[in-house]
Amino acid sequence: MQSKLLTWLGLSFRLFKREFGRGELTVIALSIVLAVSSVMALSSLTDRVQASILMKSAEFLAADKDLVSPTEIKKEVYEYAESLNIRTDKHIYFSSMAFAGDKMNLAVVKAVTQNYPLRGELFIEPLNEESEIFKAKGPEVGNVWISKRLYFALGQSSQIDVGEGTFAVSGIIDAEPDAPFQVFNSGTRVIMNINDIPKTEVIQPGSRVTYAGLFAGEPQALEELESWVKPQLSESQKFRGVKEGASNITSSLERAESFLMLAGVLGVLLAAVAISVSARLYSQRHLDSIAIMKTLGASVRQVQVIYLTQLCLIAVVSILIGLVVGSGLQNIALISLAEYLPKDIPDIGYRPFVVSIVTGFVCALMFSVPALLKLFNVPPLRVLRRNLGDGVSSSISAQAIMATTTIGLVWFYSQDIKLTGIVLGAGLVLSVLIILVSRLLLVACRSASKRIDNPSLKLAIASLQRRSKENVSQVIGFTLAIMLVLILFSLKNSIIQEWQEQIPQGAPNHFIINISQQNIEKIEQRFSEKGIQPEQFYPIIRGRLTQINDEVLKQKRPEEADDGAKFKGKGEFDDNSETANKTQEQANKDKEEARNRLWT
Amino acid sequence: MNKDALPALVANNISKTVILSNSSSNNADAEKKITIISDIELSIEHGESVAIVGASGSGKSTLLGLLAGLDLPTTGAIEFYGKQIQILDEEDRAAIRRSDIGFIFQQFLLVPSLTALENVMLPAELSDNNEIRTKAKENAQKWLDKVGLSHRLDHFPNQLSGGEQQRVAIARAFITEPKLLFADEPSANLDSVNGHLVEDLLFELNKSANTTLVLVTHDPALAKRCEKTYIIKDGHLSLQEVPKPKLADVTPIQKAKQDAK
Ligand SMILES: Nc1ncnc2c1ncn2[C@@H]1O[C@H](COP(=O)(O)OP(=O)(O)OP(=O)(O)O)[C@@H](O)[C@H]1O
Ligand SMILES: [Mg+2]
Repeated sequence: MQSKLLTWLGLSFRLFKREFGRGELTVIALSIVLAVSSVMALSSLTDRVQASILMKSAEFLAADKDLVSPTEIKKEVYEYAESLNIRTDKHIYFSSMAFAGDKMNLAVVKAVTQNYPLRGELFIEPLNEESEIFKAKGPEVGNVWISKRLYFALGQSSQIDVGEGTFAVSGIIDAEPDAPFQVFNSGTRVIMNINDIPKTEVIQPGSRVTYAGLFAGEPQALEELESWVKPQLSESQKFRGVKEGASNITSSLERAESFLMLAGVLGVLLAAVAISVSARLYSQRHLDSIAIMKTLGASVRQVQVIYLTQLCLIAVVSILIGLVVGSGLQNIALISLAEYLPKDIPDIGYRPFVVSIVTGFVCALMFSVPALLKLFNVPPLRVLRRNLGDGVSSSISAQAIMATTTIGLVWFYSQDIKLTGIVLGAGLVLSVLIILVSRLLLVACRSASKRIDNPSLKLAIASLQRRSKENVSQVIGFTLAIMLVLILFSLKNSIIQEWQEQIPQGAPNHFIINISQQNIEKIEQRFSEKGIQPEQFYPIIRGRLTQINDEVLKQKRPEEADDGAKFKGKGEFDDNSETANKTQEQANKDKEEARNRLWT
Repeated sequence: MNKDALPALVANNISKTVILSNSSSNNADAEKKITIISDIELSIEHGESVAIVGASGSGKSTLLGLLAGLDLPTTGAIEFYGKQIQILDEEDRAAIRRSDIGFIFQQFLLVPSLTALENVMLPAELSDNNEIRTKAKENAQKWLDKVGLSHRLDHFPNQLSGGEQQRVAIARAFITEPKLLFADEPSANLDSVNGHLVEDLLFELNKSANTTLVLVTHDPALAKRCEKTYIIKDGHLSLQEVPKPKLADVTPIQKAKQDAK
């Protein structure tokens, strides 16, 4: 039995070797390569860009997920998380006066465990200038790290008091992953060990403290934690992830992904038309070979093994080539986009591979099997009656298979029912139109041919009529492809427009804040030296809007208005008396936030 | 022994009727039925060589298709060594064809993408018999040598002359050592020199392999080389009564090869 199969496979491979590199199989192979490589390139590109942005965002959070609460978080949450192999970290945020000798300054304190930071990196600059900046976890008990500004404000003291506790200043914060957005942050920051909190005695009933639990781990475990925690949350507690934090970017990215994948559909559709046409030609050409084999006694199963193995060989080889070409294209795209993307981009995940391999096999099978099925059913009697089984035309069911496959692929890529519906609806309308028009043309031709004497013209019209079904299905395929191009074109415009609308006209790219009154002139001078034209300088004051004209405003802030820093109690204090200047260069999203906050 | 005593092929009152479905005519009732052959009775003994002659369109190929199990008769029964084949399905008839039947066609019908050697190997490779399968290549070389083509093993059909192609087809027909060999106008597409060469080969190999041969032809001279001749006319078959000498003296194969060159 085994050796039988091996013999058939050998025969199949021999036929494959002879056919490959010439004729229809090459077209089929190239079509699969086209489909696979375009899908691979597009999906891995969007995947990697998305993953890298999420990773960057995770660094801003110093974790994958956090649970923010005005009250202490139950230890069951941590226990449950740890049982899922999730790494945890606890933070307490509050603000308090920091003292050093006769100096004092308001400080924003973050108490952390030694797991901090779960994501991103914390860099500390030692107090003695000779030592190098080093990467650190949370400070040890009895030690604090403070921001440079606080250090100078407290007279470069190596020891500070926070509340009732006394701590050694063992370093200056150089880079902090979850540093609050620093527009309003006074920059007087303290990071201490969470076990030192009782020493300070600052947490009293009624004091303003924010607790946070931070979590990092595998996506599945995090999801499980989330679904366990969420129902238990009180209204004032928030369980958040990077996605929520970076919602603007991710939703834009998701839209871009749908768009790009729709472009992938275009590649697949063109491939599908090419595959179905060449599979039909291939079948037509092999009718005799199969009739011969059947006459010599080949069973349908033998024929299937011999021919489907060839198809699988083609599919496997072309999918492999497609994957290589696709990832190459993706790399080229990444290199050309490098300027706009984070430096280290995560590797390609498994998803693009799955998507493109599925695409390859779906293309290879769904679009060629209808023709092959006809081929398998060729009667052996064809060896005697030469035209038997001719005209491997695609039946209605075969066309239905192909249409369903196409729609399925559109949905698979776009994951968007509305878009799929649009493509489907437009496709249907187009198909009906094309069928009607072609029918009309054929009828017109027929009546015309009755009046025509030219025999070759008559012959041409007759063959047109005979093959009308196939011709129409090809025309529909190409028309759908053209339609997709048009959809893509208009989608592209609307996506770009949407992005542009997110940023107001003439939005600045850089901000300088915390400029003191007496510095304004110097800075203006400096700008004009450099030939930069700044916008107007605005004074910043902190206040609360209670009413606009007659409309009383809600006292509770809407949820989206919470940015992490604010909610966690970071940056609660404006300290306009301070004179340090900060230049910020941030992504558009941050700019927007900055503007919102500047104007409120 | 028992099997050999049975006739190789018996046709019992078979007929074939086809329905002409003319799609361009609109009157659905005007389906035309035509009976191509009817009341066919024939019996072929094992080892016999039988010719079926008739004019073009008389139904020779139709009959051959029925006898070889490529097609099913409308009525009647066909027995292949005592086994009724018209009641078998296509797969079972294919199994009989692959083990016991060989074919030679007017249009040679080699698989274009396989070499001469691979074409000859094909029926052996499709065989259910382990030994035939494993010896496919060896035997193919042997049979190609017998038809004088050992120097053309790696040539594709389109690189061979018509005569050479038909000789490859003959080697292919013999490789599984079938009990029954069907030949449909084997020399009709060849010039007379090559045609004769192919005919000689066919008869010589048939004799040495003791195969039953059913030969369809419109050429009475070729038919004469068979032991028995049936004449088909207007769809009816009749045995040619005239007794005739057995196998006319066969041109030696070596000489024929020389002729072809
Ligand atoms: N399926 C069919 N549909 C319509 N007509 C058929 C069909 N099968 C056979 N015929 C007709 O039956 C007749 C006999 O055909 P067949 O091929 O058997 O003739 P033949 O004796 O082999 O002729 P030739 O010597 O030209 O090969 C022909 O007129 C053919 O057109
Ligand atoms: Mg014929």
